[in-house]
Amino acid sequence: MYARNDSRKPPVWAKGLCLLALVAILVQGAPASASGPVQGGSLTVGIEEDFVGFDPIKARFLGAMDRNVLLAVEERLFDLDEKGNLVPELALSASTSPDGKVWTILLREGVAFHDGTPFNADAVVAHWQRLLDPKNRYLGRSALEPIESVTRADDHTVRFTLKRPWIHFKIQIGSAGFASVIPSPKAVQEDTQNRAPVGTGPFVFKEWVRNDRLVLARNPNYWRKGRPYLDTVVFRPMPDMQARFSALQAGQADAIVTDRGTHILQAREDRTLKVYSGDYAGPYAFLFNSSKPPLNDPRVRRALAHAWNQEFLVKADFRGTIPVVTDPYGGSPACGDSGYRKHDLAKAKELLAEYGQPVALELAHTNTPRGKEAGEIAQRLFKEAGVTLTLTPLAPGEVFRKVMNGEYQISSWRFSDYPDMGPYLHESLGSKGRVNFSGYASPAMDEHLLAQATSNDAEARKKALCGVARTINEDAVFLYLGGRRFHILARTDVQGLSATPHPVVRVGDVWLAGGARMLQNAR
Amino acid sequence: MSATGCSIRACGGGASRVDRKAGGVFWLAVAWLALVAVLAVSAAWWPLPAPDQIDWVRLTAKPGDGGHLLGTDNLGRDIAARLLFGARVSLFVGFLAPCIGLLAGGLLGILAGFYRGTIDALIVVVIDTLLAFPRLVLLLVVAFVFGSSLFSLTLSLGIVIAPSLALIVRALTIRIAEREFILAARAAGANDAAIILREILPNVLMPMLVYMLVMTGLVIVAEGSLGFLGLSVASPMPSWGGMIAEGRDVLAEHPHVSMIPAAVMFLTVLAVNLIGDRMRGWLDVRESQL
Repeated sequence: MYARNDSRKPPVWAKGLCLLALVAILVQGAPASASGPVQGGSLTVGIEEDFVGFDPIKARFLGAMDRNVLLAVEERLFDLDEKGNLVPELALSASTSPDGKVWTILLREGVAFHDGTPFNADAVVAHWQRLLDPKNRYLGRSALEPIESVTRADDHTVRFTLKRPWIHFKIQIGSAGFASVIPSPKAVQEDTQNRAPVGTGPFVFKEWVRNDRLVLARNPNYWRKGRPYLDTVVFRPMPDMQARFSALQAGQADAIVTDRGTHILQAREDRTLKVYSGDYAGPYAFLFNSSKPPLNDPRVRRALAHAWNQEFLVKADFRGTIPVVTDPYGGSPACGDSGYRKHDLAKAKELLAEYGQPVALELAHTNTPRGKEAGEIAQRLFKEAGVTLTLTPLAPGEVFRKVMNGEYQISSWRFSDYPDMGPYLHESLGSKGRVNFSGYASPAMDEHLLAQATSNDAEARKKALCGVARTINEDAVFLYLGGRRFHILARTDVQGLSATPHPVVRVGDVWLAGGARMLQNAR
Repeated sequence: MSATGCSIRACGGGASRVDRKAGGVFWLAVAWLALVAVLAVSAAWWPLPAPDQIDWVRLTAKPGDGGHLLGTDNLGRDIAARLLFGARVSLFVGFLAPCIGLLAGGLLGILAGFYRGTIDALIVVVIDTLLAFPRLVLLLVVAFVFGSSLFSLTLSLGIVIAPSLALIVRALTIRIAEREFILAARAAGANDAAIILREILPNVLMPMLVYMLVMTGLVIVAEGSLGFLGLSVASPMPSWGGMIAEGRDVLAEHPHVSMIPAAVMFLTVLAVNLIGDRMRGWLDVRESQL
């Protein structure tokens, strides 16, 4: 994660001005922001879409925005620092057995859920057993495949037993996903968790009015004394991107999540705003249905890959604010070029001529400006190669349903992001994968997937994962529409926005610089 | 009476002289509409890039840049070319949908107004139901169920405006059906069909056509709203509303992407309304002279 205000080098005179300003500040005394966190205040966050729900099984998948609330209301056993080390949260320590197959985790004592239920080994075990039970059909279970069982050792000790040593176990329990946050067993049992989440976190859930607001209030009994700083946090879904950005500029929102290139570029120029960004895994894609003609023929898929132009989409649609990617990993592991098929119209035409039949396809895309633009670019690019593409704009949920039922030819798709993409890709691309919605199957892919699943050597595993990336490009399993890079735009008086590998405003750490806020209130 | 006031005929004649003078604005409106119509028909013959042709280098180019007369949009497509092809959609829908509305609404209205009684009651209930239903919701449902094609768009817009046309035609028919010449026709042995076709239809047709022109403006705007919501014709066919929506994203930096189609649509609707207004003026005069 890095904050960026300006990508260009400032001129010399600007440096001089800065120096002067610095001197002036030093003479007058430090500004309020330097005096450390301030208690109180309310934060309004503008988000892209309404929340899906907070129960891992009821909600089915973690909505793009739900992490914001999940990490404010509930907590994980461990957080992860930037180097991937475990930082104790609800747990105190984790130790592994010599064979690497059993992890023993010591839990924090004296912590209670917001509803009064004590936090203990039973709560952790109940949560994990629920996710791992095949009967519950937790959609993210594919990523947890290496975990055999979770058991209680004593009141404040739990044991994770693995099927084999798993290098990414630490990342899994420390990631900001559905599996790692611990809900109140009482709320889960009473079936209220999905709409009104209960956890141990710094904020207590107050209300959620669909498509209008979700309000959190300070948890007065939070185990971390002195935290959190804010009294209330309000999340407001603002689906219209322009309206969201205007709300930020007008001060109706203190921070917003956005991916509109123009707004990000504008915010970088704006001195009252600050841009926080970071890359993560799980690219945007056009998924091919490889189980039906004509896309079951790799030549057609390869032709489309050469007709496609990811660079142009990133430039036109995102104004270059997201990366062009050639693998699904978001930078870790870094696989380099991976045999990515570049835009090459001649090659596309050649492959289609080899196929020999006219190709007409239908693309189901989300009815958002983003989905529409990507669709229109694809339509034009494919047309130049001689492929007719019909566009079908659909609500995001409808696209999801079509893909799950295999009722599509090409569909816009967002791969889930996991700290370790291995197990998830195993289920998404493997010939017997449970979430293999593209119907793609190849022995080479299966081999790489098996190798990464069974390997316990970091280097060999990286090689296998990069083999997966190479095979994706070789067989043109899907088209990349750019990598995931999130952008949080915030007013400069919003302090403490810390490192996070996801588009999450970690409100537990946030405080408002008092001076600036008072000024704003006076206005 | 004749000294201070004027006879009805004399006043009508005076008004007629004033209203019949069309004025420069009217002819400007006609000229604009004719220009748009000619350009729409001849869209494919102009030396412009295809409306979905992407200029890979010039995105949101200013008017005149790199040979793009009106610049390019977010995706580097020529705005002038898209306007011409978009005009086809707007004009097609704008004139055909009211025709459909006229056909359906006119038929229902005449039947209800002529026969009254149970038929009238039934038709009025149907009309009231349709009028009570939010129109945009109806359009959204149709677009959602049948997909966004020029045909379904035109048909649904026609259905949406039919009830109000039907009400107007019904009121006119009731008024005309009470006139003496209807009685005379009946006395001469004409049956219902003959009376409707020969006596009533010619008399309601003119006001209906004028009202249709007013509807044309409304329909072009409605098509624009649907296009703005992404529910107008399917890509790659451009529509004015869709063009305005696409430019919204870059409104602050490159206002021309949205503003040019918005201005063209504004002028077109204004022209249609001006013409409709003027023609209604003529019609009112003729009615008063009847």
